Amino acid sequence: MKLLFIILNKEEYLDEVLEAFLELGLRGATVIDSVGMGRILAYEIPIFAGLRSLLPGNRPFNKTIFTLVEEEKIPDVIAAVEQIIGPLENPGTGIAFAIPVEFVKGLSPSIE
Amino acid sequence: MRLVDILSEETIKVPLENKEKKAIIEELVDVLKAKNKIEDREKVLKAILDREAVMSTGIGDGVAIPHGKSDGAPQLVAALGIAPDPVDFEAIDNKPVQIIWLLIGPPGKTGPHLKALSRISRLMHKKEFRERLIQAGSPEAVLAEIHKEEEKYFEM
Repeated sequence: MKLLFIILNKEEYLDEVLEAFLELGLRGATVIDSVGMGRILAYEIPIFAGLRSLLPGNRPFNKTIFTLVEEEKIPDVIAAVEQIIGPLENPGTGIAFAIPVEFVKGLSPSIE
Repeated sequence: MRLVDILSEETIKVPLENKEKKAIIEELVDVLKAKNKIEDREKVLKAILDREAVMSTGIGDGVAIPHGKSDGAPQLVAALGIAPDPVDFEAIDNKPVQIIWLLIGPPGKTGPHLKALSRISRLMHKKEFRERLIQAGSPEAVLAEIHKEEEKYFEM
């Protein structure tokens, strides 16, 4: 079991990403409104205003999605996400990473 | 599973004959009943209308997906109707609808039901695909378009 994080910069694709999660049989996910470091530095700390021109695209906010997922499912999840938002390598698209999970309690039963 | 596994040429109605929401839902339920895809027409119809009463399944952009779970349906099945002219479906964007999917399955099988609903919803986000379905003109052509589009997606 891994904890998969997806930082989704293209917020408008959130619905479609969650729909794809359902199609893949994921039982749940948590979504958080989030904001990148660059945005805070560039817009809230005056001395760094010069960073504004370096921020990729005009996307101040993003969504952080995290979900517990079996390791073997991760490639399918990433492929589905990239089909929707484009390759994560493209600037301003998003970031995905997974970390091991040592303890889990309280998961709802699978909807499979 | 793919949508083409639960939908068939004989459960696609092009064009729909009725012009009113409830009558269209009944028309699609009757299509499923006529092809023995469901067992109990009344139970299925009630499940769909009960769900419809919670909130319209007219999801916007000319699409509606009336659906429900009922033991009158032994397996997950779909019907699809294309209205020759857009009809009122009390859609959430208040726009009339032209593409109506109907999805019904047994109460125990939530997973496949949700997967199919999500897949339909996701396919219907694509304007160009919606237009292709409306233009298709026959059940064969509609099914072929769905087949072609779903090729781009993963197995559910």
